[in-house]
Amino acid sequence: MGRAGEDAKFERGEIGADGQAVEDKKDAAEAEQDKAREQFLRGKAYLGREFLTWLLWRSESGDPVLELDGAPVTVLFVAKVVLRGVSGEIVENTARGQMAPYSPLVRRMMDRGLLVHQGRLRLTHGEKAYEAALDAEFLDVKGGVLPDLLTREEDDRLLERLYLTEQLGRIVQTLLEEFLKLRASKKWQSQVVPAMKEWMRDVPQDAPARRAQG
Amino acid sequence: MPILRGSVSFSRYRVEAEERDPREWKKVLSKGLKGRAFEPIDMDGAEERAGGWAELEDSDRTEFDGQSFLYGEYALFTWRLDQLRIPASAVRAEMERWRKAFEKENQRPPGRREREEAKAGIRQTLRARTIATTKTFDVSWNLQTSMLQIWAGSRKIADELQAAVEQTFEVTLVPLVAPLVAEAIGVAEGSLGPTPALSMPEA
Repeated sequence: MGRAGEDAKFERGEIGADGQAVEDKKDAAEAEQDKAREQFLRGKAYLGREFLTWLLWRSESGDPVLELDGAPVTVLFVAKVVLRGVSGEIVENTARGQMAPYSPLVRRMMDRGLLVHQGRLRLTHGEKAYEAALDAEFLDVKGGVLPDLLTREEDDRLLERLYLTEQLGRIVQTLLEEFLKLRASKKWQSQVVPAMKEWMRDVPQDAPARRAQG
Repeated sequence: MPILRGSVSFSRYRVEAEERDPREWKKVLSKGLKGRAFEPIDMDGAEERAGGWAELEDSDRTEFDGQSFLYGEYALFTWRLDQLRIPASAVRAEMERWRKAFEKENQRPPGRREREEAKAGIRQTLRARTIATTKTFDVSWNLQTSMLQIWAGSRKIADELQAAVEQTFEVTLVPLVAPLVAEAIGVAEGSLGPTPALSMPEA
């Protein structure tokens, strides 16, 4: 195609400045957005994303998020978070690094609508510390690490492991129930969401992650 | 046996079933496990995959004698999955060898039906030489709290086991995912829509 032909196609909006067909790019972008939307809605995955995002915000201070069986539960996101969005040019972003989950960059991305889809959490219940990766859609526990076992006999160790596994599940369940009750209350829209948005936006350019400072 | 050692990966469910006392449950479990016990792949047949229940501590054992699957308040058993994987590259290489021999003998290329028949024969020959791979995925079921865990890192396997548990024991497994937990604690369906300020700030 001659230069004049290219210019005419460009004028008509059929090709971009790079000479590539605009329609192809649009189709790929639309397909990507459709997929992001499907992942967002499938099994109401957005509920799990809002849960993990709320938990990230709620855990930043290092204070207990709730009490379970009379012992405090504290949460710390570690190592890696996967953020997913439903609109905009970026539909997924992975941030790695011990300080990454609470970093200013991650908070800015959350302000743009990219919510936590996967994260690795350290959950401390009283004196027992657990670690597990959770995903927003199924809240499956992956690569979980249990506290050290106290028993020596093999049968007892099996039952202790099962007990600790159930405790890990109970902690996740209790945090989720706390979030869902809060989300269904008037406080969610009037106080919690504005506070979360303020936290996401209140990021000086060179601010380190507060939680990471201790 | 991931229940006993190593890192833990599992999906969580609540068991919904008709009310039974512990003795009844033991009978139901025993009958179900024996009824759908693992059976090895029939090497003379066509199947390339076989799944069934086996004992937790030895996946070669499927007798479920007495109460061998009961550990305190838990029922523990494993889903044994055997698979024959015939490498596509080996089928392709054998097919190429067969095609050359066919053309030399018949002075023409093989037709579609001849190719299909040859491929089926080659697969059957290779199948007889292939050793099945075995994987096990544990299930822990707390009979007192009605909580069940499927110990699998893969969602596809968790779904397969969910169906197997439901069919074997005639129960319903409710996954402990956010929308179903919301329903269980009485959060109204109408309040479960997305929060636009979080998910779609630019909308």
